[in-house]
Amino acid sequence: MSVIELDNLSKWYGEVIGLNNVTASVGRGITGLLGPNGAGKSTLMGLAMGQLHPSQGTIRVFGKKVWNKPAVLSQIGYCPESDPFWTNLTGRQFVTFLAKASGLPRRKARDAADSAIAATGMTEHAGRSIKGYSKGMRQRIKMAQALAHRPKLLILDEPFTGADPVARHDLADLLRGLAEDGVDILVSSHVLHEVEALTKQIVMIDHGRIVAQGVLHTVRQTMHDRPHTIKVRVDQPRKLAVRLAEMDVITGLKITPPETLLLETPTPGQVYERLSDLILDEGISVLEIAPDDEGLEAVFGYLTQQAN
Amino acid sequence: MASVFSCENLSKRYGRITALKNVTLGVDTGGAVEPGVIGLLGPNGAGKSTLISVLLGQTPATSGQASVLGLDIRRKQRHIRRRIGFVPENDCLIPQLTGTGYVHYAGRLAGMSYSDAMRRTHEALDYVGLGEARYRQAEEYSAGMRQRLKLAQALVHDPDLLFLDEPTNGMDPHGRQTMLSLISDLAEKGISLLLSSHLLPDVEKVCERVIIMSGGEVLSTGRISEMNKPHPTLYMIEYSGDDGAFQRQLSLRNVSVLDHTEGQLNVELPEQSAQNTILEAARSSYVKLHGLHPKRSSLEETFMAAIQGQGNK
Amino acid sequence: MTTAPATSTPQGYQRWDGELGKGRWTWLVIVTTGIRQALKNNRTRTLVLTSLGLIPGMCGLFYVFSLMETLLLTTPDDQSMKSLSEFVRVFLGVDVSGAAQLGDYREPLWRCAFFLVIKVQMFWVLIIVAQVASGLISRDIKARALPVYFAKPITPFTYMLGKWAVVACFIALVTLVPNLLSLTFGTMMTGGLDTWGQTLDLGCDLLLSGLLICVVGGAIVLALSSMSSDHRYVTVGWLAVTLLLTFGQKLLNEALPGEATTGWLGCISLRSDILILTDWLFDMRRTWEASGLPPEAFSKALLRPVGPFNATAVLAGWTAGSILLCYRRVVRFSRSAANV
Repeated sequence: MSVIELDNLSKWYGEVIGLNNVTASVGRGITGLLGPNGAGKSTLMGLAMGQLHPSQGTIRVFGKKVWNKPAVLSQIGYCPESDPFWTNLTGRQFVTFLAKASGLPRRKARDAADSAIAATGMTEHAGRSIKGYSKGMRQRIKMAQALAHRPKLLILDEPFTGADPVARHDLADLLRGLAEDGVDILVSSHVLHEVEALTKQIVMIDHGRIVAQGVLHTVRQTMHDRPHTIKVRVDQPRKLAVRLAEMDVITGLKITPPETLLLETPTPGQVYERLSDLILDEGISVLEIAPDDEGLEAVFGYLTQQAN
Repeated sequence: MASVFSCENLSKRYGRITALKNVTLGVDTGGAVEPGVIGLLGPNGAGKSTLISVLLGQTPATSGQASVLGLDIRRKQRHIRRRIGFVPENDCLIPQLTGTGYVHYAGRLAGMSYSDAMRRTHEALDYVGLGEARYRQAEEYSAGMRQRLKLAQALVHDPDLLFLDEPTNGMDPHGRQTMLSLISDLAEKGISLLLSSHLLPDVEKVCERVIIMSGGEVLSTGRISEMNKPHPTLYMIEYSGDDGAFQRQLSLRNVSVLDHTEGQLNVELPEQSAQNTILEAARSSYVKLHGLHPKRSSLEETFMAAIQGQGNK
Repeated sequence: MTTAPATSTPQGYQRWDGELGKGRWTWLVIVTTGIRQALKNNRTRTLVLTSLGLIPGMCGLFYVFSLMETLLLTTPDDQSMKSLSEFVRVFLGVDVSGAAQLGDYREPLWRCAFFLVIKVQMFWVLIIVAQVASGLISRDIKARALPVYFAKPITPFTYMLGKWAVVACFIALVTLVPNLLSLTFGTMMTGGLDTWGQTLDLGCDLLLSGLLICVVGGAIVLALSSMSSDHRYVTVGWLAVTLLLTFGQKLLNEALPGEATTGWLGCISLRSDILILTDWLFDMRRTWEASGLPPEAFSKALLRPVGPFNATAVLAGWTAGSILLCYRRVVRFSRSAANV
């Protein structure tokens, strides 16, 4: 069951293209929305939030269209990249106000705001004016505002950018906790290693078009034009390289002294089957075997082009 | 070896807030932090930007001493600034200048003649990869272009030491890769760099040494390779095949299984060079091995441990 | 025959082995860049062109005067000259057909004329400074450019001097430049060492009064510009400081009897202070009386006699206070971690 369903979705602003014929679905749990700057991530999030109207095609959240439907919108929480604050409000006032704006009655809004503020660790600062907040505090109060009305879907735009490692760690824990409670989360971020640590489900767009979606590992396997690179660290890389060169499935070998061997193959499975045997038979001591380009950073690099 | 910078009991107070508390760096290495790429890490508010401001002379230290490139910060500030470059964290464009105009202006402010500055401007802009865009208004640049422009203005007068405050802020992964490779290249050409960043994998990639700060104090410094304690006998195995048989074969060879999830095992070897026993165990149990990862603590772990250590004090 | 060995230059960072200058002229770089930035604005360009356009008019007027002077001297018996001297007699109340020459009245008349011109120019200065200078430092603060400036080998004083010089250039364009050019044009027609002596004298006084406006006006507007990151607030502040004080002075002058406003109360408005000092510099009263021109004509146009001491003190206070305030603000925003 998909949470967000995009069907031939396009959006343009005058002549400028935002999304171009995107068909994709975002499933339950945490999903990473990735792409270079200007790829259309903010457009996609705006469409999911009902802030933008599709130029063509449809977008459904929880099976329903979002444009002009407050009932659906009240189930979505959004944490934007920019700081949309009325700075003379206190943190608590800000979150309470937005909770009320999402449809909660006054008393419930106050309680909901307080619990959201506690969840993001902002209780001791909530009484102060937002004007005096540091960057990290602003980020957390934005999260509190997104969580207050207990949405079923959270959309986060660059929540890790500018945050220090401690804050990122706390945020990642918070998101994992929410996911375990059944909240679906769509996270857009450039900080790939954080996204990779959170989830293996990704949607990748570039220049307004969908480039990849699904579980990272499976996505990598569908990239048939890119042979896999496996890094092997052994004490005698050249000896191993000679034996590996005899295998038909090996299409490339690169030696980096003193002990690293990078091998290239379109069918890594077949290589793994033989690799251990080769190492043991040749009397080589192994230190490490790892795929070199299956991580999110490598896949991202392969699939998206360099922005100018 | 030429000194990069050093400080002794450097403190900085703004009213009631103490931004730097008795910071001492480099004194024990014979009076200097050695050249290369040095990472400066710490949570927000740790005092990293303040330390840089004080070393640059933008704000006077409340007490203590420091020197940059062997020159005292209190008395030789002009000389220091002729030899250093600074890439600030925030946008710092000078309004209504083109990319070329901005870098050229920066060069002339550093004391270069008009023609020297013009030649170096274009060299620096070529280096950071701003092509035709250099003739456009800098205010129209995207985030990645602005970061590169800032780097160009810091390099135009060929400094010996560069201070970079969050140089990859707001850049997409491609932009970050480019910026990091530029930084590595600078280090190879003999320029020392002090890189303040929150992106620990980036710091791990380019820096040799790090300084970890929090709450205005230095928590630890040293080489990354030494600070990331290796666990020479801990490994993570990825495999597909019969779990039971594999684990039996491993225990036969005195490899203890620490924990187990689907397709993954964390094990401890009986001794440091016994990795091949894992391969033997896999062969004996007809299991296909597709990952053998030595457990390394990452910089992230070292960093968090240091911060928590301070919190416990 | 030897050939040069083949080389290949790897790309990547190239180091530079050139020399950096001592930094004595860095403030000039700030000036030229500031002027270029200012001239990019359409409104500024219009104001500058208008100011330049007025210069020929002014020069022409003084030229005509000295033309009249020469003609009356050389051809007094001509019919048209007779009607001219009649005109002069009616207009100024002096007799130039006899032994007295128009040239004898040149000095007092020109000093008064320039004084009146400066009075008008002050208003123009107000406008051009508001247009050009309100963004000088405030835009740098808003764009967080100061940490970049102060990572270069310059001091806050170099920065302030450079920015001040930008304002000073524009102020000079509407006061000093037209005045000195008109003076030169007007003197070209006549000869004689005497005339040139007077002219140099007057020239020096014009220069000093122009510099006075540059220094005081420049310092105040720079201080205001450093106080806000929004140049619109700076414009409002500038207009408040100048117009409100001038208006207040006028009210005081109406409300209080004459003697009360010859002391400190007469020095509230910056405009009045500058005019008082200019008056003192030009010393028009003395030259007018010495030349024998009727005193009633004088009092019609000009100031009450106010001593320069209070005015100097007030202006010095404003200038010093502005410089100090500006310095502190610039130093504060040169920290890279400072919140704007």
